[in-house]
Amino acid sequence: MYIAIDIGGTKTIVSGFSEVDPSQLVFSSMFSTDRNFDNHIKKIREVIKNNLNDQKIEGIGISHVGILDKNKEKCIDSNNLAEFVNKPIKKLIAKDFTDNVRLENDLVCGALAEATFGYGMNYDKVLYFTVSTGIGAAFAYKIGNNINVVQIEAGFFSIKGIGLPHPSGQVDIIESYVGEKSMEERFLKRPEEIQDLLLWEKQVGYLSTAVINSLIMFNTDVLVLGGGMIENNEYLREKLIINIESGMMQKKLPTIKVSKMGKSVAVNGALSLLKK
Amino acid sequence: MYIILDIQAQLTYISAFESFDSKARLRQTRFPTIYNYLASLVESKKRIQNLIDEFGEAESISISITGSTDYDKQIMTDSAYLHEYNNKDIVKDLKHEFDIPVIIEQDCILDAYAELNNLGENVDEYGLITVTYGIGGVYVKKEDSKYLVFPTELGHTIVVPNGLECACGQRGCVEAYIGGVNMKDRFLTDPKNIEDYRVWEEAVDFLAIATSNFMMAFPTKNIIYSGSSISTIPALKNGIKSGLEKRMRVYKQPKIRVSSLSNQANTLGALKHIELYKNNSLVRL
Repeated sequence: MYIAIDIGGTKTIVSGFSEVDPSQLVFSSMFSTDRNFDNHIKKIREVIKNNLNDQKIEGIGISHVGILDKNKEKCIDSNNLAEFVNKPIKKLIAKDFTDNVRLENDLVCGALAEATFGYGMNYDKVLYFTVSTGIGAAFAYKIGNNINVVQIEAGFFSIKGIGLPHPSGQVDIIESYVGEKSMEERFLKRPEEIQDLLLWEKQVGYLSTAVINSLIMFNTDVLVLGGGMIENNEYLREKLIINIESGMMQKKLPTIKVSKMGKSVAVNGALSLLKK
Repeated sequence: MYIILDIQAQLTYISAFESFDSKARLRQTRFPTIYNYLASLVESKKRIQNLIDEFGEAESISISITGSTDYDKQIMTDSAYLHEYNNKDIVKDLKHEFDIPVIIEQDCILDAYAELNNLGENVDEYGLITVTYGIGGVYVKKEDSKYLVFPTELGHTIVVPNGLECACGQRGCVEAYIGGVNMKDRFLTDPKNIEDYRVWEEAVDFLAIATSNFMMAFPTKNIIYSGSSISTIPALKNGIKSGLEKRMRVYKQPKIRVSSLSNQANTLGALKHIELYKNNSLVRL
């Protein structure tokens, strides 16, 4: 069995597959991410053990929120999971299960999922752009049988604005304007509670700037938009596509698609890590 | 012998090199860029033939051009400054005339190749940002025996939503603010003559924004600036380091250097292009 795990800031998904193929799902379990690292590892291992039914584990792929070390062994920085930082997560999850274990950043996994199993399957260059708790993008390009990924801090693209600060210390970055936390601080409401269309029109303007800048910087065949805010906010999704189509003139537009993978995108990306 | 045709917005240079060594230049001629494509082709062919008559057979021709290229099709597709060259098949026209391999590439990307033998020689990866009539950005990473090349069209990244109109048709591109041609249009004088320090304060900030945005995609340890504006305008050259420190906080500040290749960068990059092409060591993304 192939195990794919998505460790997110609030939720964790553990899934098992009979093949390295998302359609061959055997089991899937979603639960809250425990802030206590040891408890959380214990829980993940329990879920795997309880669903194995004496089958051998062929490999484990892990998608992890935050910044990973160079060797892809552990998380070295995370705003959401401070207790997970510098812990040998890869080793602890896989202990006694298998030596075939791979760890990757969640955004990279999103791009890999779309490039391997999603809308990017038949293309050489895929730009995955996500809007959820944060804003990010990743560019996947295929050379031979390998898929390589460049992570893009699209939420940190700067503009000449009104000087809005961001907790990172930068000012006037896209996330200062449209990041979930920044919006909560500015408007004292969660983004989904804000009904003001004029405000959303502006927010989409900032987001489309980040998408267009990503497209200008990377020659891509297909743009896949994903993340909770894109998938669940119809106005934002449709207006964003209109803005991209009307605002980007310097280059030919790539094919634009909205991800259909929903919450499974990172798990599918983790599964793709096990593809030979 | 290798022939280099460097078509810039104002001047066209034609050079002959005996080998891939930048010091092995046999001759260089130049003339004001002719904006009519056919007239320019006639003049270029004549000058290339003169070089062949003088120095013997040429092995190949490499073209540097001021505009976006479709590298797979080997055609310049869009230039804000050489409209009449857009989609003209100069590669085919020169191949037909001289019956030797001909390749073409955008000037800014060639500037990055030129640095492989200069400031990029002893590093594994670097970003090159050109600041001249326009703004360009290229990231180069050495991997085994290959060079991964990411051309970015940095000048057309948007830094002011709904800002000034750019020649590309978009609004708010960084090039609309600090590209040399656009600065000349805004202030009705050559940027070199502008003394108002507020203009340069703003220009430094825009360049810092562009550099920071480049680094959000390519968190490089080495930034090389190239081009006539950054090398001749002290306010830009001296201000960019502190400008970037103000704008970019999430990554370690890169090592900043300014290229000394000046207006020969395109020619030397085009020469390097032949070498990389011949060795099959380019992966252009």
